[in-house]
Amino acid sequence: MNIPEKRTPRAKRAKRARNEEICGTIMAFLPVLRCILFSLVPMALAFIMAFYKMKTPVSFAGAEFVLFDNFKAIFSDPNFGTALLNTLIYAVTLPVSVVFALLLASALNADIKGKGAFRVILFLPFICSTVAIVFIFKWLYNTNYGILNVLFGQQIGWLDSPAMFRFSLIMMIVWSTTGYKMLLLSASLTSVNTAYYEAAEIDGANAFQKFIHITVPAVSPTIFFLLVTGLVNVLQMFSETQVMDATGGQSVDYAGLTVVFYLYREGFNYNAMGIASAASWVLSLLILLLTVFNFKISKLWVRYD
Amino acid sequence: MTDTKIAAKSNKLARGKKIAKKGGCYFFLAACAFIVLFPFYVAVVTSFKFPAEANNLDFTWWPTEFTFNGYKDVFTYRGGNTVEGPLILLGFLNTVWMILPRSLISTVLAGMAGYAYAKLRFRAKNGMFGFLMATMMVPGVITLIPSYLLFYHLGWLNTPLPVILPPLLGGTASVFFLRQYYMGVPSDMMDAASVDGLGYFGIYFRIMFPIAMPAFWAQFVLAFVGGYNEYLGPMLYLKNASLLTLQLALQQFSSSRQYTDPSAVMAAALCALVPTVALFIAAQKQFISGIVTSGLKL
Repeated sequence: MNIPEKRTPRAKRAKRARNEEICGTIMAFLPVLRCILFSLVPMALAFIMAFYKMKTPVSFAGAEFVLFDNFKAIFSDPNFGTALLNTLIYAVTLPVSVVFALLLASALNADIKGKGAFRVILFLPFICSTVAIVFIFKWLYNTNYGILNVLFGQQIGWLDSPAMFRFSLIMMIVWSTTGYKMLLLSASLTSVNTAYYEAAEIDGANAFQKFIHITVPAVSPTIFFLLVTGLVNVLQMFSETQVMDATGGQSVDYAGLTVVFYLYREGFNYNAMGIASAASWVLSLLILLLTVFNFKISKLWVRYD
Repeated sequence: MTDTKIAAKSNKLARGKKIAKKGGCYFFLAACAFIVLFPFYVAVVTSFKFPAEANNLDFTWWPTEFTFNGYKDVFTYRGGNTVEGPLILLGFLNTVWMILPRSLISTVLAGMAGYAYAKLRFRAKNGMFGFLMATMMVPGVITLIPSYLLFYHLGWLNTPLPVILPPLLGGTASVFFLRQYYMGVPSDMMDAASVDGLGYFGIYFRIMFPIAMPAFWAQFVLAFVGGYNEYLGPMLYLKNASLLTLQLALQQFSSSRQYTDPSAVMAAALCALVPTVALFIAAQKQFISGIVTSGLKL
């Protein structure tokens, strides 16, 4: 008589635990399934394709195993060198936008009015589509009628030389990517203890010293997060330059050709899917390398306390 | 006497310093806000000008003669009669029906996974979560080329499926952020619910989902805006003119007008921006607080 009463709650608990095991696994598995199907499988496929010369872009029929020929082809192609150089040059936008974002975030942290409005305005470019932004900037940069040349009273060719093309693109990217970084940094700044600043003021620290010794260390985990995620994005830049100039800046020594643009052309314009896959692996390894480096040096400056 | 004088003086000095600092902050913020808004101003002004006035060496800060021709052009352009009806509108509708359900479902499923990773006990938990975090570091470019081949063999090319399906099961970043959010929610609520006989799916949809609304809003807006602005994927997979998304339609329209009619190009760019900007402004409170609460506990 006693036994079933004692067993029921335990059986119930066991059932509940089994239920939790099954439900939890199902819930947690969906994004994992997505990663397997649309990340891992293509990644493995890209690895295999990098060693083949494909006859058609969509199948392995008649494909020829060429070992490292695709990699050799890439590294002897001057266009790839240009693309790699451009990609690294455009990566400057990352530290520049982080610095601007940090300055903006600390200005927002001061005791001022209209914070909400400033935040909304400064964040605005982040939600705007690249295509729309590029067409608007192309118009600002227009040599004859663009507003910039009207303001400067000169006929500057903003997109007409390799250096100017890169510079103009960098300005546009900093303009459009700073807002998001500012938002995250300003959120992490509000949690900084104001007592630190008061103590520093008593010790006679100036604004710059306070910024370097209190603000930067306090938000260093957020800066680190922005650098790691931003690096992956900026090294894969494509739409900005492709919409700006669909030829990759042919008339300005291919100043708009990034690595992703390069492999897009190889794959989809010249049907060289093997070379494109090899290039995508080279870029991914570069990203991995820089990310590892980022993590390694983070120990020197990121503070988690 | 002298002491109080000095104190008063230093007080004055400190106050002056504070005002100067405040002024500096205002100036810097206002200057940056101006730089952010200025391109939009130029675009708006240009969009209401006649092409002759826009393409003029004398820039005018306000249209001398207003015209809606640019906007009319945007809403009547048919892309060389490749489609029935205006291309930009078609692109907008395609974008909405492809992206809106996708963003909703993926955010809800990401939240479900986030809840499981934060609150439930199951054996594969740490392994699966580690796997997710590792794939978050895989750059998208590496899947670009083989995905095309994959979609070809699945018969998905020139259908909306490559745009709709892959993100559907929940974005990794959203899973991570929502998991962080749920870590901060006390478990007692869940225990009380389980006493009431709710299953785990029930707990998620009845309790955990509603309480995390601000975080969901943020992740949903991020997912929607990201999908709305997608360019490379749709360009590769949607060759059929009737499937073009807004960004592709905008690109096509603007490229065809950019050397002749900047007013029409600006009008098109602004029309394409209106929906996301409106969504952001309408939801900015939840959006910003959501990013802040879910995006920052690293």
